[in-house]
Amino acid sequence: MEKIVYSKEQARELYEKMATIRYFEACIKHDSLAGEIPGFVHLYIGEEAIATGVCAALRQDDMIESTHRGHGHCIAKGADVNRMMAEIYGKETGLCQGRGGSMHIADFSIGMLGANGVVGGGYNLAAGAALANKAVLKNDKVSVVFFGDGASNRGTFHEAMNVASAWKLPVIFVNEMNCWASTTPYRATCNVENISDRAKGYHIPGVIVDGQDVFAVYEAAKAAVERARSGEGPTLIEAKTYRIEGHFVGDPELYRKKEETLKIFQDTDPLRIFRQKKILPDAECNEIEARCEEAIRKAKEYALSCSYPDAESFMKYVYVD
Amino acid sequence: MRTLTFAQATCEAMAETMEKDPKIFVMGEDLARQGGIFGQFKGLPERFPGRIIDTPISETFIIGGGVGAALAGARPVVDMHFADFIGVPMDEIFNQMAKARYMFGGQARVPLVLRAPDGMTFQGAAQHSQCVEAWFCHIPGIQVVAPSNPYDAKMVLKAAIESDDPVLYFENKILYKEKGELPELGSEEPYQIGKAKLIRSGTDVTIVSYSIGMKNAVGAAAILEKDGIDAEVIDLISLSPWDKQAVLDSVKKTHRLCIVHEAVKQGGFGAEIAATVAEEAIEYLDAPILRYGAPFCPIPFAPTLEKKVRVYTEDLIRGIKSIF
Amino acid sequence: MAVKVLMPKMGLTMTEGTIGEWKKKEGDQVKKGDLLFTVETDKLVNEIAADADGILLKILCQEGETAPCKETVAWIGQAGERIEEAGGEMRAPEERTEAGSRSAAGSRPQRGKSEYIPATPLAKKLSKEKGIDLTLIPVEGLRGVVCAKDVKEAADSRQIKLSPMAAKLAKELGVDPASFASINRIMKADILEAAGQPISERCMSEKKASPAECVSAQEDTAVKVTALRRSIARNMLASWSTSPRVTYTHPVDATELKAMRACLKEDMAKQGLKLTYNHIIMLATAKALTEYPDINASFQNDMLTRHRHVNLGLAVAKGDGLLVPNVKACEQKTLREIAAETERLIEETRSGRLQGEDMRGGTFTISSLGPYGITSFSPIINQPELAILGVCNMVDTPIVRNGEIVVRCMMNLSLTADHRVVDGVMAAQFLARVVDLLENPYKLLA
Repeated sequence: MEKIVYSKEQARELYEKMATIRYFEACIKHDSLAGEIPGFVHLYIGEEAIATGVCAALRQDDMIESTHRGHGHCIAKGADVNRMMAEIYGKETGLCQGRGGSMHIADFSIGMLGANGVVGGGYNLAAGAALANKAVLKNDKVSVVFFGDGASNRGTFHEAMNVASAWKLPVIFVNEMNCWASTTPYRATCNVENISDRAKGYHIPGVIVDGQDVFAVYEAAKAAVERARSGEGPTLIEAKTYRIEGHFVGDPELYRKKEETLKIFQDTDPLRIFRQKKILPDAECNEIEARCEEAIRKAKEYALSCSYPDAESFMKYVYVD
Repeated sequence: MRTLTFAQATCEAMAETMEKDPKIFVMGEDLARQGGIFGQFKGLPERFPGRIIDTPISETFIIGGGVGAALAGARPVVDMHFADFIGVPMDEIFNQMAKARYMFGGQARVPLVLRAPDGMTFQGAAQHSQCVEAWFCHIPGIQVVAPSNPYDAKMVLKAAIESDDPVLYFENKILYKEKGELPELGSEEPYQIGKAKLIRSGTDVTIVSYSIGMKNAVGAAAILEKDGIDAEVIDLISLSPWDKQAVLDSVKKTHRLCIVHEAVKQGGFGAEIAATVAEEAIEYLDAPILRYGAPFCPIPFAPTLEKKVRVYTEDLIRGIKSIF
Repeated sequence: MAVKVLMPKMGLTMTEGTIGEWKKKEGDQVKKGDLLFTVETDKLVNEIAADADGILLKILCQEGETAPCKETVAWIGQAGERIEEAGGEMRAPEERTEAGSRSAAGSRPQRGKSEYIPATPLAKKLSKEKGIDLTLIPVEGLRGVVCAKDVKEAADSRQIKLSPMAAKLAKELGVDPASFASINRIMKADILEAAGQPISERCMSEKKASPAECVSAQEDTAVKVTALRRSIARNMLASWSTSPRVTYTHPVDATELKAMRACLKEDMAKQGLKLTYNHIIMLATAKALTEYPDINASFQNDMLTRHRHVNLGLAVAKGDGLLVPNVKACEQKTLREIAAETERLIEETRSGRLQGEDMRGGTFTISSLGPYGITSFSPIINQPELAILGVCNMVDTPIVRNGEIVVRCMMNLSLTADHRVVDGVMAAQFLARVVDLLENPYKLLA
């Protein structure tokens, strides 16, 4: 594969996305633990390079299906953090007008077709969107479905993978191999070391990529997008990563040792790995981070300043009027 | 007037809507090559090449893919082969299809039609004979319809396809071959989902049904007339939303209510009708509500057994006479 | 075996009574002679004692409800005894319908008032609207459950009971008696009320009533009046619309009357009697009435009935009402007897122990408002009598006597007479005769 040379601008964008996700999630973690955010939240800290790398390879009109751990995908696809924060706070100005929250965050204007509270619920939706774009709407849009290693054991994985392969649908299956299905280690329930091995069964490419290296992810995604867009069909990308946070904010994490997790984070933090590449000077990275931190601070301020939806409007959006 | 079978009428609805809107496509098992196992897609694959898609036997994809296609901007009609298989893609129906619009604060539209052939026929036994419409009337975000005759079959299917919300279209397998009259093309009345039809006006008892149960309802009314009982017959057509007002108004007039459907009586849609009348018009009732449906039993195989779980017009007649 | 407790018929004219108060509760032990309940009639409150031993099993006619005489208002029997088994008529007191009697005669088991009556919701709604007690509806339909048809038939077959006066008025005023479905016997007052609703109701029902009117109407308090007041209201109205009346007022020089009373008072006091002017006026009136038999009479159905005796009624205020007991055969009584009897009647009236007999058979009434400073008024005739004498206040008045102004104790008598029978001359002569007797009381001895 040809070595891609990144412009500073490209690098800056990638770093800024990852940093935005990092500060967004840090803020959510803090506010959730403080009891300010209603509902459950699942954090993407440590996995930022995957969403960032994949979405960098997509056009704005391409579509993604996200997961319950979806803030990162949403930010990477280009959602406004103010309206995201407002949604997670349950406010009227949120992306979903307070009807979805963290687990159902969506922004159709940028092709983010929604986080999904059902693990493994996204495959068929992404495959269906790909089918519609290819066969019915006749455009060259590509769909991406993000899923964890836990979700890889759903039957829907097979149905969507099979049909995507059979019909060469423009869909990319992006597995975030973070090693944990909630509290269960991946290998405790699956005898296949690499999820990408399964691609062979569908006669499609299965790619393993370092999920902590945003450039590696981007490059794998770029290849998959090109393949999809040119009508050659789906790719299964397995991005190796690690779930640094608990399954949800508040998870006591009795199933693993905190020190080990911290050690892994220190070794594999995608932001640190990015800096190590010295594509951007540290000072600039610091500057970007400061800007992101400020943006998130403002997003929170915005969310707090907004009001909850009028309770009387609860029936709105059950049906199209 | 034209005479068409139920299946032909649905084909006409498909063809007319597909002609108009290229975003409409169809997918399911055995549609393109066979024209549907009951012939309900006959002629369409030839007329709309590439838009009638044979899927693998992957119900979660058929429905989930349909939902994804709808989210992407297409207007899918998906076929469930037998309504009995609808449990396989249940998550796709009640967590994805039904909720996408709401969860995402109105950003999504899911203009999807799920066609589900239901009911007892050919001794299909326990997994190919069921009427499961009631399950879906409990799920906000989807609409449920069940027409009873060719004309309604066409107009209701057109309305379902044109609706921007998901619709579960239950079509009874026995009814496919039933013939009925339709007005000439161009003079048909569009159907509005949620509206019941008054089939027969009467003063003594209201018989409410839908789908194949209408055969019992209309049949009973005709015989009761000879006994001096003037029954009013309402075809609900839509079950969610359903025309509560039509039923309440009728019961306020007749003071008696009889509900019939092929589905299992316990927890059937008749329970919803009965409960609503009890809630909102109990003071107008002059007799216990009668409810007919299958006994609480899987649909058996042997003809003698299957016969036993059907509802017969005579049951209604006997019951209605007993409340006078 | 359980025995019925009946609404007593206390005297010939009593047709119905209202339960004032139950002195025993359902389930209480009662002994023969125990005070069981009180009955309010037109005229008074009577205490009714139990006439059997046992348990008060069931009260059919609740406090404030009215039942016709001889109607069963309760059952007394042994503990656990089923009233149905006791047999007999079990109609609820407020209902006297065709349906009711069919019910009693029919095959349906007798049902007590608090027993749950299976009825369809529609039947319940209709029975409420039509005011038909479900217990009274015979069941022919569905599974022994009362249904709408049964209620409608019961309603159709019910006879609407009207007093003759009410019937007449209803016709005149265009009131449909059927609209009184829930009322027992429709009386004239009911018709009048229906014809001219109370202001508060009218205000509510008229769409165009201004909000201000409604507000003021809502501030008013409507109180259901006692049986006595209802009776007075009915009687007064009946009198007002029955008798074309004229009131004649004649002054009386009470000088001699005063002297006579002063003279006799002490003697009477020794006999334990308190002599009042009324007693002397009654004596005089009774004597005068014997001379005017057409005034000591009653007029009904074009028949004039001249009464053999002067049963002289005296209007007596009682609580918020008015009763008119009468002194029987007053014309045969001495002043002492009149005084004694009058005081007895007044005392019993005020203490509520007055018997119906004391109020029946009056032929003429005296109403005295003298103690309240009234100097002239037009009393209303106590039907079916033909006249009433109003006695006014005694006032020291300067008058001309023998060409000189002198001060005399003067008192007016106001006689209201029914002109159908009593013409002006007769009334004036009669009144003059009473005046004559009072101004010259020694004539009373003649």
